Amino acid sequence: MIEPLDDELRRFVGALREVDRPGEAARAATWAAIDARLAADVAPRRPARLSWPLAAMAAAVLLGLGLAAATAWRGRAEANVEAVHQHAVDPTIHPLEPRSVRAVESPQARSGESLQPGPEESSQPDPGESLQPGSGESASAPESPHPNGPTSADEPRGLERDTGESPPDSRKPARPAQSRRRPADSPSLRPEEVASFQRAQAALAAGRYEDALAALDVHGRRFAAGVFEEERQVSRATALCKLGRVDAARDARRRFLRERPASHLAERMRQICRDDE
Amino acid sequence: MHDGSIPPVLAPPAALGDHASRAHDGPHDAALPAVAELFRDHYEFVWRLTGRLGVPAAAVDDAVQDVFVVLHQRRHEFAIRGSVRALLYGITRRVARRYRERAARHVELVEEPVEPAGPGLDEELARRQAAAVLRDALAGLDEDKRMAFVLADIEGMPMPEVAECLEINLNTAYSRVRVARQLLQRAIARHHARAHRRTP
Repeated sequence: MIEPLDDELRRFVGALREVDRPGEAARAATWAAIDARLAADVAPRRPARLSWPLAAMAAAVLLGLGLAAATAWRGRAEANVEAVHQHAVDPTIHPLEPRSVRAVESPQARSGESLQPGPEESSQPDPGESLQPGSGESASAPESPHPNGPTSADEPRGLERDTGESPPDSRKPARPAQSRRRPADSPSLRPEEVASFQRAQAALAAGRYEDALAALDVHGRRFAAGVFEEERQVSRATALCKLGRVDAARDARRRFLRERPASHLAERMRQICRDDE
Repeated sequence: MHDGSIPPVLAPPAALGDHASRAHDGPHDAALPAVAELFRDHYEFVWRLTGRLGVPAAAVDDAVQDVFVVLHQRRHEFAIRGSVRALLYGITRRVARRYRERAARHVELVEEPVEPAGPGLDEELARRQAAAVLRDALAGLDEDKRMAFVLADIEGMPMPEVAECLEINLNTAYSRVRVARQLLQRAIARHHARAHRRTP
């Protein structure tokens, strides 16, 4: 226990206690200043406390958006890769070089007048597309497999474009199995041309020579400068011979051999109606 | 927290040895009261301490503000394991040190308060002169002895609480208080001697 202060020192201490006292005005002013500082500190601290969950939510949202964007980007990239692969596989997407049909078939174009059917042939009714119902195959095979392919109403334009200006979508390739020779490999072979000629060939093979002639006439009008020109003349001569129209068959044979002596079908053409001679 | 209004501080502060502020015999780790309540009860205690710890008079009010603001901002870090005044003393000592260093760098900003003088107030003048003598004598002591005397004999703290505030053992606290008293008594004696020499 400490001894009490002596009287003198106690008097001085008492005086100091009395003198060193803050006034009420100073107290009030000090509290006002403290209150203002605490209020200033409190204002930004409240959102700081609230910002934790908000920041967490914002981070989660940003993360989700980032993942979604990355997933979408990846999916798009994969789709592009697939499209590139398909593009590489599908030959129809490739732009096709204009076929030098005019150069190849220029002799045919020159002989177009002489290839017109003779009087007896021209007297036959033009079967057109309406002649095909009699043929089972023609009923099942569409005239124009391609939806954008030319129809009978487009024949004039089709004839004009056949020289190499046909639209790209009408140049869908035929499957090689559908054709026997060069047309199968030709990138400019049109499906409707192949289908039309196949109908004629089918009628010829089935012994329906009238139908075959009609189909060949239609094919000749639609694809006058087509790639089946020589085949069409051979088939036509064959059908005429089978129908007993020997003179017409011989005329066709002579005309063909005269105009195309070097054709790979020349020997076959020579065999037509030979026995009848 | 505080309600934004000036707390009812007109009631006598409990700083001078009130039982509620002493936790030596109470439970430890008590919750810290609200800053308004602390300000109401301990404002004068903190105000006197800042002056005793060497803060210039012009900066005492600012230092007191800092003490309570720090107490509020870091209230969750503080746990009352003993006396509330011991906690306040620790904060005030750190704040006062900062203000002393600032005052040392900016001497021109430090001004001695103007002592109000009233005509015919001999008793008040004598009190002020006695207070000035003791204040000068305290300024001549080192901080350890000065604060031990201030806490024990001016603030009226019991010696265990003084030891807690100063973070020293009890015997050291006693020793510092005794030495401080002796030094102050000598200083007062020298003051009386000078006064006798000046008096014809």
